[in-house]
Amino acid sequence: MSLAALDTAAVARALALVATGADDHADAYFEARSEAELPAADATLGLRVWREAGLAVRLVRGESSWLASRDALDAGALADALRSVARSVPPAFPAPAEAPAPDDEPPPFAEMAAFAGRLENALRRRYLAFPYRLATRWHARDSRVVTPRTASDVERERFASVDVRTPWGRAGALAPRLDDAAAEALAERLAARFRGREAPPPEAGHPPLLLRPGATAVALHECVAHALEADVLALSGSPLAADGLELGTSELDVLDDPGSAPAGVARAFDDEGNPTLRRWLLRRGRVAQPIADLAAVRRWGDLEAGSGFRADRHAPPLPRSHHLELLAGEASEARLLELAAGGLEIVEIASGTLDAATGELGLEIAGARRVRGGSAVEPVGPFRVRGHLAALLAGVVAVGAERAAAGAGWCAKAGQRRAVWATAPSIVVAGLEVRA
Amino acid sequence: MSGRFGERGRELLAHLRGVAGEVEVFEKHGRSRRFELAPEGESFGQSVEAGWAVRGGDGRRSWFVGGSGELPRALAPPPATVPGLRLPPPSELAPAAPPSGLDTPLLTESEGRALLAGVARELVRELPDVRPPHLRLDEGASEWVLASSRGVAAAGRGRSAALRVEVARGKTRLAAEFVARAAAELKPLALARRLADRLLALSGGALKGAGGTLVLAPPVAARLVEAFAPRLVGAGAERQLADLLGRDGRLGGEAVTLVDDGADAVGPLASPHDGEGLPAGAVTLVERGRFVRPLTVWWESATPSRAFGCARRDGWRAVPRHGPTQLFLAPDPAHAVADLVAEVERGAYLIAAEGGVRVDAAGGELSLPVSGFALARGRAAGGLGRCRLRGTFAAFVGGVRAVGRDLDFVAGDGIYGAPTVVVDGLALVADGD
Repeated sequence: MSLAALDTAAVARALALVATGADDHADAYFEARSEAELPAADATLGLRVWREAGLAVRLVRGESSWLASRDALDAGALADALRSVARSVPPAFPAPAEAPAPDDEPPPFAEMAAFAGRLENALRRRYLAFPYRLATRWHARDSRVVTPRTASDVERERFASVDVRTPWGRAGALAPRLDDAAAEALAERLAARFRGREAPPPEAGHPPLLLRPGATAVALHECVAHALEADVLALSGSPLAADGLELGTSELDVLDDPGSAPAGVARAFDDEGNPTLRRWLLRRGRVAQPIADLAAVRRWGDLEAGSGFRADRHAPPLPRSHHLELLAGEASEARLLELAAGGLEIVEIASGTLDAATGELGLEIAGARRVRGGSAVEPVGPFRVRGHLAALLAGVVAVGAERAAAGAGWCAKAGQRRAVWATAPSIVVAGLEVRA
Repeated sequence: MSGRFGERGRELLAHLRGVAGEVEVFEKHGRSRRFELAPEGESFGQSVEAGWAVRGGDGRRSWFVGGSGELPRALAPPPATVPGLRLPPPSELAPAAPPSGLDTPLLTESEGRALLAGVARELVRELPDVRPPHLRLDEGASEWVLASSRGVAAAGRGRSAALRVEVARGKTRLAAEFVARAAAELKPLALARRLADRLLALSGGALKGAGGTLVLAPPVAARLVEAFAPRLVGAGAERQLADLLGRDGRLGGEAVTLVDDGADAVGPLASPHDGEGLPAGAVTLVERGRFVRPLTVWWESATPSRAFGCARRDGWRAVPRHGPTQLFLAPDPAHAVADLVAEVERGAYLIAAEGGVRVDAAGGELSLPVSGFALARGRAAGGLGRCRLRGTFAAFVGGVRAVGRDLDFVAGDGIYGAPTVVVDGLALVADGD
């Protein structure tokens, strides 16, 4: 699936004929992607494979933008898309010398098929057996962006996703590979759900919460990543006004760094062709830099692009996190459990929502365990955590010393579904409301 | 694209003749436009989409391949895995006529811009203190063709438009969606009035005095139909309805007739064929309160070649899924909406759903955020503020007293419709209670 053969010089010349204004921006986005799904045994259809390729051309002029996308990767489709966005049509666009031909890279069918056994073994090691339906998916995407002056390298993303349906709920997971580590991590989450399936929910109140790395990743995705996206900040004024704002405790050092994402999903360029950067979002709890795309930079000036990501060629880029990192703190495991005494240990957050206008946060928890006597013991059933994002970030009383890569899951900002990643330690948060 | 649409499919079917079992080939072409108007600027998107899907297999194993662009003339199927494949036989039923309006051109850039600007302008006229809204209009048209080794051959066209609006007035915010077959059917003044009504309803405080009879406008009643629909699907439906069915097979009042009809021309996704190429048509599930039959797949029918199709296929990437196509509570032409509202001595008129229905794990209790007005002697008596409609499915289907003539649809996992409904037995509570 190679876009390396793309005639970027010809594409750049053609884009220059579209971006005729002094302040115009034009780009062409090329993608080739494939997916494979091994569905649950009782599904209506067996192995599924999708292969697709296409392109999009965009022109940004002043506060207006035009996007034209096509389901083909050839000179004709490119010329057609260029004509659609051009405000004045030149006589002809220079055609790329050669259309890239997507490779026929086979998905790892054997690895997908073997995962069911790995998961079963991981559950048995926990002395668990229950009915579930497992579907595994493999995702591959190559993309490349060309502007009149630049051409990004080919960006390659390869990862797997898993969907498990049990009688007491549904769990999803992302992983660079479907290996033993992925099976163990998923089994641990399923175990937490299994233990909590018939347990009563915790009493309503404000107990301390020990969020394990996967749960920390989801909470920070909602409270830091979404909250610091330039378009979300713009709902209440200039994103620049957030600079230096004390959003959390001084324990919190949070970055978004697409380049340090797990192998297979790391990104050197975003979907607008800008180099990604190690972007400090919070330094010792204070806002350092919003997550910005090109539109935000054009509108607000003093921001840095590099975080414009698209769901696919038919969707416009938006400012989004790709790989969120919370730096390790100093709290040992024993200290974390001590601070969480009387509270709840949360291994996973089933889903999270942030009301962008009010900052109100909602987290759905499928199951947890009470923390007593220096360990997590008795399971509790499903409950919700509510509060303001500032309350969560200001309520972090300890950050663990051990970090783990944790797939934060699928993010569906503005209806555009993308895999997002995280590396985080456990944290202890006080002051959030728990209710059934 | 080279060759006539569908020609390659027949060629590929011939090429795959040696593959074990049956094969089905599906091709789809489409074009869509997106117009967006927001305080920070405007954008215009235009997509040309083309894709195909092939599925094959025998009674034990099956496979599926989908791709963008032109259908290949030859294909190496991936490894087949369980389960087996079931492809329908050719139908003996005649397909319905396609709905009207499919030939209306998609909006041009200037027409789309004018529609959105018109909604924004009329909204300010209705409520001068409203903040500039964020509007997004998607409109698309498509055509598809399908052929199978069992002899099914069908073609169809589709058309839909959706306008999404996010707007705020003071501390009151709402997100709304309006669907239609073509964007030209969306009228700025009417939309602006509906949005203004919802903003006023959400900012009121008349919930306390709003007990009694509830009048549910189509967008509210249709969401309840959507939440109830899973109980009507599949051969096991009667078991799923056991707690609601009386000994006489009665499920609800005389005013309750539920129909699934993917070809009903009023529905925004009306099509003569379903996603497997079978003719779509009316299947009455509940008639005048009495359970008639569940919605079943062709292979569950005693006469598969005379069964209406109920497979949804959302695009070339999607595997056909069986379920409700356009499921609706049938309207009653005898009742005008104004008369239904005027007859309410004390109650509430719920005009919109402000979120999705939440059904508890046991499946009995439902809860839906709504907006509306208190009613006193048939007249609006103040906005209710943020509130929830609560009750049980038994109370809903058993409490319907009358339905209006104004059938309308909402989009969900399928298309669901209802007219205005007068219902007893459901309760209104403040949001957050």
